[in-house]
Order: sequence, then structure tokens, then C-alpha cells
Amino acid sequence: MTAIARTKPEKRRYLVRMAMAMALYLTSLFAAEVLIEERGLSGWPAYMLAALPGLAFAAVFWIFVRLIVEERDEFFRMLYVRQMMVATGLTLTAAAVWGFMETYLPVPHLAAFWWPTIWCFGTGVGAVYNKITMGSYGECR
Amino acid sequence: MNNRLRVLRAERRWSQQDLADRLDVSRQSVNAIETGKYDPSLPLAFKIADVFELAIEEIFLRDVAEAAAE
Repeated sequence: MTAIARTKPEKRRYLVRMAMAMALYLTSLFAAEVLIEERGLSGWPAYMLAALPGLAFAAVFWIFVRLIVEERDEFFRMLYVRQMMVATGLTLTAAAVWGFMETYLPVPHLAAFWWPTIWCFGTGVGAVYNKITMGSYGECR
Repeated sequence: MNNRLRVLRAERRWSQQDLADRLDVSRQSVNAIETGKYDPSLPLAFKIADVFELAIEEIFLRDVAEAAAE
């Protein structure tokens, strides 16, 4: 039996959805680079195309929430909620601190798309926090 | 909340995975419950009681401090 066939259905759905979101993200990012940056696409098509990578990134949050809803193991469900809370807490704290630093100090401006990126790293921190405090990383991280 | 899960499991010579399979949960869940890191929901507690053919209060015990406070 292959590893993917042994995987629980909710985890398999999580991995497939994540792969699709990342494929959409990379494709739309590439299209925006080529069509807007290099070929000068403008007007509403440019706005729509520029929004696409961000929307693909937003899918990551929906995918994570679906994992929590679909997971049948209540212990893992709790681990995922804790993981999300750690990631959200870290990201919002970092955004608030950096925002005030940008206002009052000569620090470089950080593009807003870094915050969801930091959130994704935060889920990794959350998984480590779970391992230390609860003895398990959970299955998806 | 304390529990007698490890003792009950040992009496039946079940591994954590054996019990997890009977409860349809992960081995990590059984480990977390046994070590007191996680208190199961009421439906899972009932399921555990059914698997061991015992009452819930014969498996899960109140903390000494909790009981003394009442």
C-alpha cells in the first residue's frame, strides 16, 4: 500500500487542497509578473490578476479551517486550533510592532503580503509548541 | 483529571495502538489522555468506558485538590 493510500481521508484532502492552492499561487504570481510587470497589462484585468496570488494565499486559511472541521480525532482538532492561535498571535503581534516601528522609526517598509507568509511560519512554531506542551506535533503542519 | 487508562490497558495487554484502534482515534490521543495532558470529551470518555466495560468514574478520577476544594 502506498503512503498516500494509507493517509487518512481528511489529511489527504488537506494535502490535495494545499497543493492546488500553491499551484494557483505560483501560476498567478508568474502570470502577474509577465503580464503586468513585463507586458504592461493595465485596467481592471490587471487589478484582478494582481489580486489572484493573494486570494490563492487566502485559500491556505480556508484549507486549515476545513482540516479542523473535517478532522475526526478530537485531540488533533485541538492541536490544530492551538497551532492556528499561536500563528495568529505571532503574526498580529509582529504586524502591530512593525507598524508602529514604521510610524516612528526609520525602518524599511514591509510589503503586506509578508504577514500571511509569517502566519504560515507561525503554524510551524505552533506545531513545535504543541510537541513541547502536548507531546505531539499533530499530523498536518 | 487523573485516569487509570494505563493500568487497565496493561491488564488487557493492549498497546496504545491497540486501544487507539478500538476507539478509532490516534495513538497520540491515547498517549495524551494517559499522561493527563488531554481530557477527553464526554462522548470519547463514554466510548473508553464501553471499550473497558466499566463506568466512566471507574476510569477517570477527580484531582485530589479538586475533590478537596468541594
